[in-house]
Amino acid sequence: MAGESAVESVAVEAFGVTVAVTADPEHFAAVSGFLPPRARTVKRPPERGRFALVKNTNDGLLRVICDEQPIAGPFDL
Amino acid sequence: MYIALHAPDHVFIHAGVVGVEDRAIVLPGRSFAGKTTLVAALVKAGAEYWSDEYAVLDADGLVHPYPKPLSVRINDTRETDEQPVESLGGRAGDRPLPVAVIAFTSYHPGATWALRPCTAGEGAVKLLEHSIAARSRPEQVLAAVRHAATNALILEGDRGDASQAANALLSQQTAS
Repeated sequence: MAGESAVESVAVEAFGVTVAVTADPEHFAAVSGFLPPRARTVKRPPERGRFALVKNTNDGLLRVICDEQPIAGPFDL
Repeated sequence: MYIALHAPDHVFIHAGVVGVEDRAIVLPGRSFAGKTTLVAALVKAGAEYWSDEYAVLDADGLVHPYPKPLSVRINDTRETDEQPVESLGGRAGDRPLPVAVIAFTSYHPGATWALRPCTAGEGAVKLLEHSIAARSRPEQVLAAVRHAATNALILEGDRGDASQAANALLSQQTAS
């Protein structure tokens, strides 16, 4: 998305559901902590369940996006 | 939460869970209701760790592990410190367990342990209130909670100190 950056990503499967998480390197470890325990890494990201923590370069705030839709934020971390 | 809502074959209940002698103690409760404190006390007393967030039930009512790091509150604030169960001297479970005890407890400082037994039907309804997908998948959720509650000892009441409550729960579980 314009004005935003996110560079690390992982897709995992747990309990029959696959999700993908993307975030900038600074926040990726923290975001990964919200992934379900013992989730299995998969190569192919899902069509739905794609989460991203993105930092808007205009206001510097973080927002959580799921499948292109903002679901939480903005946060000033 | 996304996985809890969309898991096709599992039902997620807001609850802490520990395992003792191959049977589970389930402690339903909302966020900041004291689940983690009681789970941590049970682990320190020798129970195996299943989760401090979700009881993950399958169609047969068995509880699967969801062993995330424990979210331990910092000085009674809403901030938490994520602690692996090994830091408490415990270990995480790795298999589904039948439910032995379901305890709906409310923390009140200084309260003495005096839980009353409930029927399986009451237990299933109370579990339903703590479930994640009751609105989107009511039949599946109801079937799972009914299976989980059918052969379990259901308790409800106030608790005080977590270590006292943990010892009382372990005694109940052993006796049930």
